[in-house]
Amino acid sequence: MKTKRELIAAYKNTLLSVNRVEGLRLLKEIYDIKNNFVEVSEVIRIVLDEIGKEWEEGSVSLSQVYMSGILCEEFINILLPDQEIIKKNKPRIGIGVLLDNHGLGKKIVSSLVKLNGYEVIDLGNGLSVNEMATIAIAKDINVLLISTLMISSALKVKEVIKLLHTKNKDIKVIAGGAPFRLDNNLWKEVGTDANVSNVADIAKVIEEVVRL
Amino acid sequence: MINNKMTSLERVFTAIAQKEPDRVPLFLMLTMHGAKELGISIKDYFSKSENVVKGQMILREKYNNDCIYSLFYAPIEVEAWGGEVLFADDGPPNSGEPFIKNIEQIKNLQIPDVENTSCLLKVLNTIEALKKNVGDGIPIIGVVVSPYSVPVMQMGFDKYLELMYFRPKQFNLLMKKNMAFAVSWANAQIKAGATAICFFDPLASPTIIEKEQYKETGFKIAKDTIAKIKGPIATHLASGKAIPILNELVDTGTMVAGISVLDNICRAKKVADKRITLLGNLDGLEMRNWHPGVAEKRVKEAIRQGASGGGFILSDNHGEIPWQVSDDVLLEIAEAVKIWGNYPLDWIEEYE
Repeated sequence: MKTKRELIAAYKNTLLSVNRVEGLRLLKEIYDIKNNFVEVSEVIRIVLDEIGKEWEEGSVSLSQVYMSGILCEEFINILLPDQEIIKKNKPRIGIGVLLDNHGLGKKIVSSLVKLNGYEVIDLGNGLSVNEMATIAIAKDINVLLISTLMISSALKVKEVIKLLHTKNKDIKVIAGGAPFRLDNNLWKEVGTDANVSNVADIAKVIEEVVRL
Repeated sequence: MINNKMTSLERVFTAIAQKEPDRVPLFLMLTMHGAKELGISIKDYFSKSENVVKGQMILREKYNNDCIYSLFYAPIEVEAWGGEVLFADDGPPNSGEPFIKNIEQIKNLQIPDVENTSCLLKVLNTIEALKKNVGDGIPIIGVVVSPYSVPVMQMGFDKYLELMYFRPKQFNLLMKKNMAFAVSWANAQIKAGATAICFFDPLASPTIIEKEQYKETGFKIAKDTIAKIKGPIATHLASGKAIPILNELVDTGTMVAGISVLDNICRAKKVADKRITLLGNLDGLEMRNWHPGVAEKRVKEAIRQGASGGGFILSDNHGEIPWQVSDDVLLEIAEAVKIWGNYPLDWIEEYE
């Protein structure tokens, strides 16, 4: 019989190799240990945390990060369709893609935030600076996650923040995407409230910024 | 002392032959900067072939770099397929909403006819005019987005990954159509006068797709596509790591590999082992904030690490210099190559 650590390692491998059948089987095996969602939820968090760290270190690919999140969400829906993940409805978290139409980063982050029990409001893709700020205010967002692809879009996060301030809105802003990954100082340059060095830590970073 | 004994074409092909030319070749991959030179918007700049011809000739004169880059913008291929392109005032044109909204559309996709697609004809006219201007003295680099990478713009990254992993039949069909287009588009550019084709394949990088998956999919697609293109190829991974798949890139038949800031040049040179030329790897994002003196330092270090023995072309790491990079930085890069890039690179021993 495998130890919990062995099961976790095996489950992680199925995610990284995008093995749907084996992944589901292993997660069921993990669920059967104690017959509760808490165990499954903890394993998923540990595995996605490790995958997130390995992505930052460069030893796993972006597609593996995305597919891991997708598979975990899928497995939870299959195994525990009636299980309500205890939803934390505060803070209100919104996520949108600024100016670009590439939604992969947004999906990865949404997946990770949801798996940590938060609701995430999808503000959309290809949003202008004005749209991002206006929609975030209209939806009463407390923490705004902005995804970007190009450096020209990333630099405009500063304008979103400025617009929110001129409307006296205390909305915390966290931004991500390729430009922020490739330039460690960009978050300071544009004035966001935090930097996310490991995408799997996004929920923790959100909790930290709301405490500020 | 500036060493100008060779033409740019001779310089580049000597380096590719794994020999030391007169000077380290420099490829400044400038696209939108032509709009700055003409004082017009990026959208207006790319609206007419003659603007791009004029812009590229000014850039060549200004920076004296060793290539003419006929790329308009990567989503021009999406435009050809009937998709949307969004223009910005301060960045490269970007693809709009993906036009493949469900996978059932793939079987009915019509491959664009290069000879009858206006946005592509604009590029071909540009290449023809550039060729008339520069003759055989300087390489003209055309661009094709790889059949394996272009679906990110055609259907969205998330849907494409799900197609690749879970719907092999539809994935293969899309690859077949994309390969047919890529080959016809590349060969049309070569016929128009392009010296070589830059094969943009960011999904080949293990930054994006894990190596084993790439070997089963993108590698085979690249190899088959490149075999049908009637000219030399340089593969660029657009800031993605290259070293882990450098051997595979060699096997695709490409002659040049763009390397990233994530790749150590010395290590890349060792893995390349004279089988492939390296192109890179100045940090385009960091360039925005380079103070005077930094460009020279970075150029000197890149040359020290990669240029001995040939097989190296100095360039940025993404395949397109960001709009935000100033003329002063670009001039300093060009000057630094003239100071530190003359072969033989005797100063390297003293430096060490």
